Amino acid sequence: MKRLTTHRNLLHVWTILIVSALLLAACPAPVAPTPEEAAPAAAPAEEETADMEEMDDDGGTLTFATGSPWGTYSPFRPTYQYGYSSNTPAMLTHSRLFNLDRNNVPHPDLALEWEVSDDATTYTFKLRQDAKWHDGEPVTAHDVEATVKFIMTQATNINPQRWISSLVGGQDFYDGVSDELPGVQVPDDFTVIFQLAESKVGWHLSATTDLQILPAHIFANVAPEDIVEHHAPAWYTPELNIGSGPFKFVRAERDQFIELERNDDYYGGAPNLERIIFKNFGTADTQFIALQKGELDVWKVPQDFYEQVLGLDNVDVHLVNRNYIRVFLLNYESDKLSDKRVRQALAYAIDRESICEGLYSGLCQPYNSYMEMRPWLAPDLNQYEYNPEKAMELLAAAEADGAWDPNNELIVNWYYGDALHQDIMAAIQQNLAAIGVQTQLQFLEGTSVSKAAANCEYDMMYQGWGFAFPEDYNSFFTDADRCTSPWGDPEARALFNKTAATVDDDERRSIHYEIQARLNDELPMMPFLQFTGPLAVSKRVSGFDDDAQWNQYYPWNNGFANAANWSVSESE
Amino acid sequence: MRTYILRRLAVSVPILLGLTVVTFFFTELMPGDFVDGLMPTTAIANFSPEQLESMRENYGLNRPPHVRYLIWMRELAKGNMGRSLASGAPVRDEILARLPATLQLTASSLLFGIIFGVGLGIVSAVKQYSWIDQFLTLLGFFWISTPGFVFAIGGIFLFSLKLDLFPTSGIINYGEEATLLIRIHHMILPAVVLGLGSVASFMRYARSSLLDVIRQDYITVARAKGLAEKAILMGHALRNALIPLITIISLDIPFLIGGTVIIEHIFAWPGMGTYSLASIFARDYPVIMAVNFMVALVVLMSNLLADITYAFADPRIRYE
Repeated sequence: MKRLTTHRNLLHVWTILIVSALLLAACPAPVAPTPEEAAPAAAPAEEETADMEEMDDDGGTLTFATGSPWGTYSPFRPTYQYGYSSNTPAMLTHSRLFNLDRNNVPHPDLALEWEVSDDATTYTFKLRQDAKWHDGEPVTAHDVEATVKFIMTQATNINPQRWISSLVGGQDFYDGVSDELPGVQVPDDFTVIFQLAESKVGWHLSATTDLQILPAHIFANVAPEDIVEHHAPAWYTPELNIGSGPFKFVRAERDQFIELERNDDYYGGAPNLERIIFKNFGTADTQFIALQKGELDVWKVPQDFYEQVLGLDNVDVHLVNRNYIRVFLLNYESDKLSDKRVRQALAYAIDRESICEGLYSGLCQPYNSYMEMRPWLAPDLNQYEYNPEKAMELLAAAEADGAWDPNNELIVNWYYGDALHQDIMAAIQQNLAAIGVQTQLQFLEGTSVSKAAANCEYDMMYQGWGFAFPEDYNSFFTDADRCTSPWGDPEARALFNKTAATVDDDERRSIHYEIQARLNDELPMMPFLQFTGPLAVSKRVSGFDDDAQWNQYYPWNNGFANAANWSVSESE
Repeated sequence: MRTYILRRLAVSVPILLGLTVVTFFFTELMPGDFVDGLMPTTAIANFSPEQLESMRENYGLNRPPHVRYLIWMRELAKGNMGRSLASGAPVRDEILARLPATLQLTASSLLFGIIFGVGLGIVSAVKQYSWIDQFLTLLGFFWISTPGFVFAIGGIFLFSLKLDLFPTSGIINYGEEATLLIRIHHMILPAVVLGLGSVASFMRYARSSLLDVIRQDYITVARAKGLAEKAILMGHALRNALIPLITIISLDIPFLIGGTVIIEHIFAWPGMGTYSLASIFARDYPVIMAVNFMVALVVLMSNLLADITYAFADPRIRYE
């Protein structure tokens, strides 16, 4: 009897434990309160946006997918983030001085016009006078000044090099030597002037693309240490996320979703869409199913889902030409790859056409320059077409001179974790083995790759390059002492420095051609492929045009500037 | 028994300490650190070594690993798990915000596992060698040997896309009130997928345990006394057959918690699994340490609980 009682007690304990857990589960998770509606303010549209159609109808809810989990980068943090796509929601809530289209041509946003001095040291912006923050306060040049000072404050840990090293007094301000920043001047409420220490052609294009203008009256009361981290709780509150863009921040739950609603007082005209949701749909497989089910409206299709997405009836698949390339950084400082004939042999040995056709579903093509912007691509570059015989000849010549040892084994690193890239690396390994080059393939996940690059623990490193402007490549030439990507060719570096002071576009382009020709021959890194990005857009969505699609693959060109035109219907 | 429990608890302390040391130094061995993760690979060339060093200093990453470990231990002793490098918020708050979602999932999975596992185990035992028994045996092996992510993707495809019974992912629908019904609706698919392994395991144990008991003399005596078969099964056999299952269920808890990492990731379930994965990718050391510490604690406590409940349930077991 006693034994039976003990058993009964045990069952009771288990029952209590399980019921308690379920009761705990039943308690709803805390949800951030919905903010009160911002006070409406009159905002007559300017000429640039006057043709945007204003609609009173409910333009529906558009749903984007965010990756899972939300790792180092918060998908919602409006400050400078090196052009990473995690910044996309902020591009809809915050405005910039101007927006770039997919041809890198600037279009007015908060700045209606701008002027660059002949020596490219003074950049003057005239702001529109009808822009309001979501809380109804006017947007002025003082907000721009405060934004620049904010991102250049060391305590924010943002460290925007393009601003620190370029503005007059930038380094002193960043170092805390001075509270003054003479490189930013505000002569009146709607004019801001950036003064550079030396000529930098096109500086405004590269420096301001990521610069979401922040409200000075909000950020004046915020301590940098409270928001220094990407996932700081304050970033998830509507109180801090006051912008001047077409959509207003409503709420965000980390790892779940971000909700935006239309800004009826947007200076570009009230958007059609009622709401935009950025939702975490889990892994790519789950996202794919959500797309089929209609839970997801716009999906940046991973390459290995491309063929399957083509078979869906409820979406249109758009192909976006991307200014984005993959390259192999070559460790030209190592004994194995110090001779350019060896580097050239590697380029000839890999059958890039077959990789594109066979593995990438034709969504790429071989590329032979660091310059992924087609209008700036040099003509007559060596195409390094697949030629294993030539590769073997080059290796043999290098070996005869003692510059290549056939027993060498090259360490090949990559950091794309999908199965497709495993296949690509296997194909490359086979190609190289065919000319007698042994390789050791090493996958490195995201965080570890920077360390491997910094310590030069690779012979070939596969990585993506996507810069917005020709002068962005300067980082490749900046510091030859570091064993990362910089190339220590003083002549190429001098040419690059020359481009920064050459105002005439044609002249500058010809210098870039010269640099490309040098790199094409020397191959300190091996340009590899240029991509076409597939984008699946639900047939319910309209107004999501080519510029907006471009944004999905090239976020630092802000195609989302036309978000006011999007809408979603109930049916396809 | 009290002495035994105290001794086990005392032994748990050095084991726990050892686990923290191993976790810390394995985490240190991972290439790259938080600052590396913070910089896009192509942007890191824009930062001078001094700037990167200064950022490391801000995060306290410039100190030697053993010093950081000792600081972490000292603070843990005070009940302070540190602050997340990614959010700057106290790790304790970050974990507490996500723990309910994971508890919800694991408790539901466990409940599902117990009800269906034991139920099917009984059927399997009572109908030994019948086609139902054979079928359930086959099914059990299939459930045990198939990885959870296969069921997860298959489950979403079938029950969410094709049959439209459940949402694909998430914990609630945005724009809707998080009612109990909506939460349960979102939870069913991940909980069932997570619990399938447990169902199979419990089913097999329940079957063999019940078959053992049915063959005991006292069951034969009960039958000889003319008791109904149902009364024999429910009143005499089942209670005793479930004793070993208590241990099995306790030992299953750590596996369920481990399983949440993948399942939460696939179903975008905002719990500890998703969080720990994000922390590992971001090299958010204080979070990695705290999560591992908690999981280690749960494993040790589950083992202890298994031993204790077994001793209570079976008087033949004596701990000295």
